[in-house]
Order: sequence, then structure tokens, then C-alpha cells
Amino acid sequence: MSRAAARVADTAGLAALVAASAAPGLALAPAYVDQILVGGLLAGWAAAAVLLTTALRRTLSAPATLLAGVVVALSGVAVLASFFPGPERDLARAVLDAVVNSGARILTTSLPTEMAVDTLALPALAVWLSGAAAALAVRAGYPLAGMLCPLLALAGAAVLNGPELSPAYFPAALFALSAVVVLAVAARTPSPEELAVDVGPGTVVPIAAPDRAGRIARALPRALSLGGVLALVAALTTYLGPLALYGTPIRPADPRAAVSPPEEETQVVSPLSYLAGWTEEPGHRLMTVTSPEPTELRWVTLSHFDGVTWQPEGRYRPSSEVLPDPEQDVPDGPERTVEVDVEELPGHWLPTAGIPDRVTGTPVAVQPVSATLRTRQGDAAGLAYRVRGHVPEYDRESLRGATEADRAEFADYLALPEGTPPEIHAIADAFADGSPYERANWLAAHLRANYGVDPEAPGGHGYANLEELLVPPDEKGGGGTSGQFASAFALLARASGLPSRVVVGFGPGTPAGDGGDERIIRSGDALAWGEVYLEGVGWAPFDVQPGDPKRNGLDQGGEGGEDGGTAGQAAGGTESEEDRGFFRVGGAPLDVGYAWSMAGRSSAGIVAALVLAALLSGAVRGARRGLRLGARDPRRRLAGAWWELRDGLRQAGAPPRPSDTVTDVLVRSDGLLPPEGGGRRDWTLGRTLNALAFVPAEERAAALDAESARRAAEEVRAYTAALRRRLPRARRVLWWLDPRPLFWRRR
Amino acid sequence: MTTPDPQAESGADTAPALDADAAPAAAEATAETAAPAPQADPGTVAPAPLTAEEAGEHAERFARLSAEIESAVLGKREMVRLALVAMLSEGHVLLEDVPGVGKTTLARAIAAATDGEWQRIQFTPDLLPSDVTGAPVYNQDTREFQFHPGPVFSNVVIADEINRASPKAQSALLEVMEERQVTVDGRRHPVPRPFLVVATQNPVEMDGTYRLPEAQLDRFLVRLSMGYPDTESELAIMRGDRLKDTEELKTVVDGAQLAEMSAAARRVHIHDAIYSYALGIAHTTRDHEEIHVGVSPRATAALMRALRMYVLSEGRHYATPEDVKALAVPVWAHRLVLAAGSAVSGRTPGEVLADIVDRAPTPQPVRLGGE
Repeated sequence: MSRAAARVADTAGLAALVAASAAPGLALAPAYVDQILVGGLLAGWAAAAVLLTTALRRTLSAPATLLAGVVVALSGVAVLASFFPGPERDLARAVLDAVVNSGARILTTSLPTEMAVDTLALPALAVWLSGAAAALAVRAGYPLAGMLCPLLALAGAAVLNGPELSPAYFPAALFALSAVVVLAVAARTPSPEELAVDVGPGTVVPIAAPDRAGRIARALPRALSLGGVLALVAALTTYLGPLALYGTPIRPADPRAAVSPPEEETQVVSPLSYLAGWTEEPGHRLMTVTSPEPTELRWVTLSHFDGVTWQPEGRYRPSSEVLPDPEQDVPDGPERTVEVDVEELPGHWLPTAGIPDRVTGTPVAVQPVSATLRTRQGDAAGLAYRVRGHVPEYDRESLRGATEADRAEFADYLALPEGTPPEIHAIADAFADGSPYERANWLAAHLRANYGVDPEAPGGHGYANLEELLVPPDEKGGGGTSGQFASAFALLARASGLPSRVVVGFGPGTPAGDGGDERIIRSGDALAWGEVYLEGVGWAPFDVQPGDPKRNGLDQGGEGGEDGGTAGQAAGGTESEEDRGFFRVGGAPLDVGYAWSMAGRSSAGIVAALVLAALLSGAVRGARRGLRLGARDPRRRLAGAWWELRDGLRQAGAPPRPSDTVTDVLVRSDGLLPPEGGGRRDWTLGRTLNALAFVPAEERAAALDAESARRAAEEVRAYTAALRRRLPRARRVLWWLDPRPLFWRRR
Repeated sequence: MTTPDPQAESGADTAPALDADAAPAAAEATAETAAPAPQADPGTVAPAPLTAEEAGEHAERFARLSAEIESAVLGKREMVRLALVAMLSEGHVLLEDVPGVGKTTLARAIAAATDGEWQRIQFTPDLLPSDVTGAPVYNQDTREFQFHPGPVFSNVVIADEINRASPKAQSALLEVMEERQVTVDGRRHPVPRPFLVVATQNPVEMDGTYRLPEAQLDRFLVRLSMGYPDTESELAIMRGDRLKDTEELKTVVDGAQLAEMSAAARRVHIHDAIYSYALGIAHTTRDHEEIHVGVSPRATAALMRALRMYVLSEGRHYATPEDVKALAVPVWAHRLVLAAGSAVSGRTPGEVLADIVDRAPTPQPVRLGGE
């Protein structure tokens, strides 16, 4: 290999090493708020680690290089701390805090992770270390071990990403291809066999300095095979890998589910309990909301009912400004941005507009199922923040097409504690027929039509209160508060087999009166409603409260009556077809079954072809061996024995070199399989072959007798059989099936 | 004694036994026959090829000679064989080794076993050319100058520490080696046959010495390094029981028989592929990046000369690639001049040449003879 080619190969190897080291960073980047920035940052770190380690290793020992690299990496963390400050302000403490607590912070924040030194330090250091270790190992001549380091980091990134992000196919493919290049470059030292040039008798070719064409001719097969391997790996990682994983029921474990973030409880009272008091004193100012258009606010969802009260959902997780998508489907809808200035609100929950996706102004934690927010620390009162979200819209088509939800998955939302009042089952059974949407709608309509609002009703929304509320229409009672209706609806839905929860929120409030966008939300604006999960649609709110002059939010545009229960339904109906169901373009763009059957059939075909080819090659080789060793003509027989011996040596991994004479080959044979009792074999080939070839032409005819040729053939037959028996079992089986000897050049 | 020249039956010239005043033409003729190329070339009128039986006879004789010498020089079979090959193919031997490993013993043993005379010249800085070749001395009786032959007029001449003498004295010896005669006052005085110079060089003490120039190293057919004997041989040497003194050696082969062997060697068959193979290696040395000066045509011819005798000593009448492999380093390595970089990096010419031989594709027997 010429010097220029060697330099190109070195550069390619280094670039591939950088790419392989950058793959873990690229795999982890989508977990961050600004994935392009993080991807670039981590890739830069990988490049810096590899290049710095390679440069330092020229003068330093391996451990010293690693240590020096760690110092540089920690300085890099300090730089990160000044660009993306974390909770600690002092630089030294910020670095220490980042290094020590980075892993915990990453695991306890919701995706996408915010950009801060304490969430970036761990990936950055891991990428650095794996890159540096890979560079050291490759330099020391252990490319395979070197590739293990970025591979481990890549696996770590995949584990950290968990099930919420799409699989990192591109970084995995990048890693695999880079690893191929790194290994190919590391293995490029040409063997002596490749260096030699075939010289027939009568021609003289200098051996040491092959011409350019010769070099290219030798380099071409290597380049072609490298290209082939690259193409194969690329196909495997970018096509077959995703296909193999497509539609698989196996989901990666979520490392974030294994840790519970520290959650400071400020309030244990159910928010639903405030509703009764607020209904009695509707004029209390709760907050000011600035929004270009009137927007309802969601506050808390409650899904756990113990027979007496509804408990708010837990599992809030610290989040960056960019909030994760909710875990369960929610239809899309128009975007709303509101600024909330909380004046007096109990508890730590923060009202949001629809399904929020971005919050600025205060650090928040998010509940990934309900997409509701709470403060990270302390009460909500006195906070001001800006939240952007989308208000889901529902169209009747998809609502009607919705199917039953998976009972196992939604067991928590279907739980009915002991002591259910018989009325609940009675009413639920009355509307037991029909699709989930129809049932939920009928239940909501039943509540709206047959009962009335009674602000004076006793507080509480347990079974006892509902028994009071759900009296037959002709009996006394039948009045309740917003919370009681929501509770009743949720329990009726559960009795009917529909997953449900209670949501507490606020109406749009009243304008502040100065002509601006400001609106004041008072205690009277608070209300509760029920939500039912419909498979194929998501959580859908249902208006359950009988007409009440004060509420003007949930049923805006609703049709009321028997058939129009869903909030925002009409608005959704008017949306254009393109916007509708944006979230549900999941479907199946690829016919997985067909693809699998194709893949299966082609692999079966390939396997069958391989087996056939192996059998054919075995048959051909057996026939050839018979012809070679059993030839009538002594000369052919001797030559056949010679080729059999050479092929055998080559197959056993000790190929004769072009510079080997007959004696060299026989010495090699004895070395590979020493004769019993040591020493050398008395090969008939050694006596006859040179005598046949190098004697004067006229003596050749007499130089070989049939007996010698027979003996030579027998010796080779015995030797190759013994050689084969010495091999490991797998290679012994493959000995006859291997087709390569059929294509080996005879020289 | 001085063995009469046995060139009579060589076929080139029916020269009678030559005395000290023989005609120059005869000497020319012997020099001519020493180069085998014109005769061995299959293209020209070829002598009858050697038969396997003849080869066997000569090999048996060679083996006896070799065995006799080995009884005085223990454990050096290959050295003895190569030294004999050099002598029988009219070449000379350069022994490079530390003192005390048996260089002189080897030379004396060869002389004793071939019924020859041996002389030893200790080369010193004040050695004069006439101390080597001899000088005309005034004869009081005849009143004229008479040539008084120097120590080179022996069958085996040991030139000890040849690099210690002045270039002038060195070239006097080298001239005799090449010309096989001494010219004094316009008269030629041929040296006896067989004629073997065994020059020794001590590689350890090189200070204040005159290294032989490359051009003169070319005059030696082989360069050998004795090396230390193996443990068993050295033990035998220490005990002294199995070791024969050179005085005790019997004459196994006489001068006439040696001449027969030399003549027979010229009839050994060398396949064209063998020539190509050797030439391929030679060309490689000329283009090799580690070598400044590769082997000369004289060197390739010398290899073939040595090859014939080497093959005959094995009892074969045809040469094989194995023989070329065995001889390439002893015959060629001392003729190579390494490039500056390789010399500095500590590579020896022998190593570089061995590498080249190790990579040169050999002619494959099946291509030539079978199938």
C-alpha cells in the first residue's frame, strides 16, 4: 500500500472512529428540548475526545492520556455550566453538582429533557470517555474492543431514551457502518501472499515494487468486498432492523418509571372539595388570565375514587419548558396561549390551556397522562406564567367510530370501589347497548335531562351523596353541584365499562373591563366535568351539568339534547378534513404481514440456496478429489496429489505461499500436523515432484513410475484426512461443503 | 607438494600438466572454463548431460571428503559443504567470524583431505605484496634472477585477517585469486590446482583496518560465518576424544578426482525456470528500495557455478528451486550494498536478501512437469 493510500486509510479510520463515537450522542439528542443543538454538541464532544486522545497518545502513556482527557472534559462541563446554567449558580459547585447528580436529574425529568448543565454532563462525559477509550483501544491494535466502548454508550443512550422516543435507527446505522470502516482499516496490513506477484517460467517481474495498475488490481477486490459489507450492514440497520422491530409488541422498559422523582406534597385535599365552597361564594377572585380569546382552563384531573372522594393523579415529573406529549391520545385542535397570574388558588396545581406544550415563567412538573401541571416546589398562589397548548377538537365521525378501550390497560380508570349504589348500575344497564360513544353520550344526556343544579346541595361527592342525587326523576331530590355531576358521570361510565376520570377546571372568566385581553376568573367559574377514554379518539370530555346560566364554557356550540354531548364537538366538525385526526396518522403505512412473509420467504430461499450450493460443492469437490488422486496417468495423479495437499493446507489455515518450494510446502505440512514420533515424513512427493519437473526434458518420461504416483496419492489422502480430523467440529463439517477450493487459483 | 593441474580432461583444452613457466594461453583457457555459462547454455553445443548414476558416484566421493573434514571440524556440516563447493567451483571463501571458532582448522582440514598443501599468511599493516606473491631472487650460481614463489603457491591459502593489511597487499592477493597466476618481470607463474583462498575477517576489531572494497568482495564466491558450534560438538571439542587432528586426516580424494568432480558439475542440468527464478531475485535486488547496489551479472554467473557443484554434492543431476534458495544468501549477500537508511537501521544485507528470497515466487513443479 502506498504512503498516500495509507494516509487516506488512516484519515478514513479516524473519521469512522469519530462517527462511531458520535453515534451515542446523536441517539440521545432527540430526548432534549433542542435536539439539533444537543446532537451537534455531543458529536463535537466525541470528535474532540477522539482527536485529542489520538494527538495526546503520541507523547503520553495511555493512562496519562485518559487522565488529561478527563481534565479537558471537566473543563468542557464548566463551559456548559456557563452556557446552560443548572440549579447551582457557583461554577465549581455547578460542575460538581452536574457530575454527581446528572444521571438522577435525567431520569427524574420528563421528556424532552431541558437543556441544563446538570442534564448534559452525564451524556457529555460518557461520550467523551467512550470516544477516548475507543481511540486508545484502536490505536493499541484492539479495534473490536475499541468499538465496544461507543456500543456500550449507544446502548446506554437507547436505555435512557426508553419507550417514548422513536428508535434511534440512524445513529445505530451510523455506528455499525463506522465500525465496519474502523475494523477494515485496522485490518488493512497486506498479507505476504498479496504482495507477491505471479511469475511464470521465463518471465521476470520485480517483486518489491508492483506498478500502479498492480496495486489497483489488488486493492480492487478489497475495496469491493468492503463496499459489499458496508451495503449489507446499511441494509440490515436501516431496512431490516426497523422492519424487524415494526409492530413488535415488545416495548423497551422505561427507566424513568423505575425512579420516582421527589415530589413535595403541599395539598392533600381533593380539589373537587373546593368546588362546593366556590359554588356558594362565586365572587372570589382566583386569578387573572390574559388571552386573545376566551379560553377554558384545565386544572386537575382526578382518576382514583375510594368511595368517598376523588384523588388527583400523582406522578408529576419535573419538566423543561417544552412539555412532553401526553402518554395517551388526544385529538389536535387550535393553539391557545394564555398568561396566567394566579392570585389565590389552593394547592400546587397550575391551570393550563388545553393540552400544554410549552410553559415559561416558572419551573413546572407535568403529569404525563393527563397533561396537567403543578409547581415544582411550593404553592401556586402568587405565580405568573405563560402557557401554550392546544384545545382538542373532536369530530363526530371518529367519535362514532371509537371502540372499546383495553380493559387491562385502563384498569385504574375502570375501578369501582365496594358499595356502589344500585342506582348507578341500574342507570348504566339502561344504556348498556351501543358504541362507547353512544353510551357515554346517553349517560351524559341522562344526567343533563333528569337532574338539576343545586348550589345549596350538601358538599361531598362520595357514594352517599350520589345516592341522594341519582333518585328516580319522580322522587324528591335530584339536585347537585358540578362536582357531584362529574363524579356521577364518571362512575356511571365506569359501571358501563368506559374508562373515565373527573376533571376540574375553570371557565373563560369575565373580561377585566379595560378593553384588553385580560379576564378575571372567579371562584364561580370553577367547574368539573367527566372525561371518557374512547379507543381511537382519546380522552373526550362530556358535558354533564344541567343547564345553568353561569356556565358558558363546556357546551359552547354543543347541540345539547340527546345527541350532542361532547364539548367542542361542533367546532371540531367544522374543521377541514386535512386538519382532522392529525394525531392518528399512525395507521399502517407498511403492510407488516406482507413484508414479513416476503422477508421470511426470501430468507428461506436464501437458506435453501445456500444448502443446495453447499451440497453441490461437496459433491463436486468429492468428485474432483477422486479424479485427482485416482487418475490413471501417473503424472496427472502426482499433480493431483500435489493440488490436494495444497488445497488441504489452505483450508486448514496454512496456505502455501507463492515463494514456497516443494520442500517448503512439505515442511509446512509436517509442521501443521507432525508425524507420530516427531521428525519429518518421507514424502514421495518430495522425491518425485522436483525430479519430474526439473530434469532434462528427455528424461521426464522415465522419471515417474505408476507405483510412486500411487504412493504419493495415498500419502496425501491419509494426510489430508488426518488434518481434517484435527480441526474443530464445525470446520470439519464444512471441510467438504466449502466451495472456495473450487475457485482457488492453481499456481 | 604442488598438484599438477588436472585440467587435461576438462574438454576445453588438452593442456598438459602445467609447470611454473607454462604458456599464458593455457591459463587463459582455464579462466575461460571456470565460467560455465558458455558451455552449460543449452542453446550451444552441449556436453552430454550428466546421468543420475554419475551424479551418485560424485556425490559419494564428495560425501567421503566432507566426512573426513568434518571429523576435524565438528558440527559444521553445511560450512564444510559450502567451502568445498566453493573450492570445486573455482571460487574462494570469505570467512567472517570472531577468532577461535575453527576457521584455520577448516582450511587445514580441506588441504589435508585433498592431498594438498596449505599456507597461512598473517596479514599485517606492514605486509608487502611480495610477501604474498613471492619475489625474484638473485641466484649467485646462475647469475640471474630466479622467481622465489611466495605463500600463495599452495592449494589452500589462509589469508588471516585480510582487512589488517594495506590495500596494496590485499590487491596482490585478490589479483592472484582472480587470475590464478602471479606475473613477475613479465613472466607468468600459475598457482597450483585446485586453488582455494580462505580469507578471514574479524568483524569485531575494525579499528585501523582497511575494509575490503565492495568490488573486491565480489571476488569471493561465498561468504560464510562459522558461528559457534552446537553444545554437543563443543563438548566433544573440549573432551578432544572424537576430534581428529588435521595431521591425522587421510587423503580421501586426490587432485585428479577433484578435477573430475568440477568437470562433472558443469554438466548438471538447469531448467530454464530456475534461471528465470534466480534472475527474478537478482532483478529485485537491483530495484529494491533498501539496496543501493544489487547483484552483478558476475554474481548471477557465480551463483550458477556454485549451484551446479551444490547440486552434484547432493547426488542429483538437476537443479531445483530449493538449491537456489539455499545458496542465494551465502553467494550474494556480501555483494550487496545497502541503501543508507537500511544500513543505519541495522539491517544486514543477508536479512534484506533473505526477505527478497522469501517473497520471490518459485517456479511450480506441476506447471513444468505434470498436467
